[in-house]
Amino acid sequence: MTAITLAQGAPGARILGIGGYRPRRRVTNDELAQTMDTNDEWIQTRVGIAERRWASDDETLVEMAVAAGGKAIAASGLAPDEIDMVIVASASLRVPIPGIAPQVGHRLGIPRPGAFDLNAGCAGFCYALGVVDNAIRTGAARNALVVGVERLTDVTDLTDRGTAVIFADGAGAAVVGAADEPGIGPVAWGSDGDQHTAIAIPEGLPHMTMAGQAVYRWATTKLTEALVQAMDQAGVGPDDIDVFAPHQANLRIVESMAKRLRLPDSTVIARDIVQSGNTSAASIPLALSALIESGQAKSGDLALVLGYGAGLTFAGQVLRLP
Amino acid sequence: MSPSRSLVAPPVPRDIWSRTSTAAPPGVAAVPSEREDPALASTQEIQAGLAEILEEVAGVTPADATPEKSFTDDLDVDSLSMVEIATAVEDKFGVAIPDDQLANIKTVGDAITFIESNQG
Repeated sequence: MTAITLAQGAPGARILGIGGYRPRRRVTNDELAQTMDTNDEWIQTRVGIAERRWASDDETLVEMAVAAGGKAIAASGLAPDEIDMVIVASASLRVPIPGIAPQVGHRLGIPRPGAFDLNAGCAGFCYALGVVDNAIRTGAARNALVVGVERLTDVTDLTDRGTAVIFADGAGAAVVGAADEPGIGPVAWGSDGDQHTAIAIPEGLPHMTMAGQAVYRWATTKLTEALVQAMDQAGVGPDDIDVFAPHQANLRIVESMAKRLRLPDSTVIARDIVQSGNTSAASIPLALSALIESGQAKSGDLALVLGYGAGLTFAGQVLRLP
Repeated sequence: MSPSRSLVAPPVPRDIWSRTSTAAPPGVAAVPSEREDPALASTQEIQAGLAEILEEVAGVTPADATPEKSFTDDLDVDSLSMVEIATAVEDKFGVAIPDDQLANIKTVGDAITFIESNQG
């Protein structure tokens, strides 16, 4: 019997570059207040959002993914032909066939990558990061591009003040490569499928609905364990975390998580939701790219990330920032 | 999460873990011998404890937290703060408040009645 030979993997993987794309159109709370029964104070108090970006017709999922992916590749210092895997995480694909990852790879000049889309709701980016980390460490890929991209405005009732003020559009991406010293900790992922209706596009409806209280309670109580697990598996504690960048779903959830973890005052907490709204799978790479661009996060910093959302799904890791 | 990955000495505040240890899993009755036969909180103690939670979560003046007050209309507590109050009540009084029942708790008095009839 001939034995199957396994590929030679890398000791670890790390993020080499991060990039984001924010749609041109900026939508303020005051603009929303003109068309629905809401106001700036109401929105800021409940979700902490001051403004968000809504994509125009030409800012398609593919275009935004290519823009963010291109920036991440440039930041990584790699040539496109050194990348051999592409995952696009999105929950707002309107056309199921074909998936967009092959096209995104092609547009970026990545030759014949292993490419597929991944839908884990707002947790998609961290799920994809977990997949490529494992692919690189097992030798299934050398370098990978992970993109989180959403046009949530396509699946949101823009006259419903409960969701229209929250959901937004954008893209964020990271290039991940082999590393002698691991720069991505073991993924802490899981799901609570009994709550599959909490965030959903109900059959026959064109728009997403969300059980706000149930999701808020789940996020502020159940997910602390996942954050602790991500740190524990990576062998770090709250005092080691330089940057905390959870999914930007609601500023109150971000603050609640930070408080429960008792992160030190020195930890930089991502609050990109204030400017970007909830961009689902794009929110974490967008938040990280904003912190890196502004200098608040530095190369070598340890970041704790956690995506969570429809499914309900969650995935978190400790990352070394590029 | 995989059950094989145990959390070793979790570096977290105690209040996170006290919640998981006080609530019995669904369908599992609490073992009586594990309880120290705690005296159930009196109505006054419940009202005082609730007022404390309301002050901490939503900045409500304790004297205002009287039974007839509506959380949303009188005390200006929004829906997400109601969730925070519910989880704090669960921790403090050892009761479970499912989301569907939370929707029926509209006044301070409703909350007191709920805690009284579900504690112990």
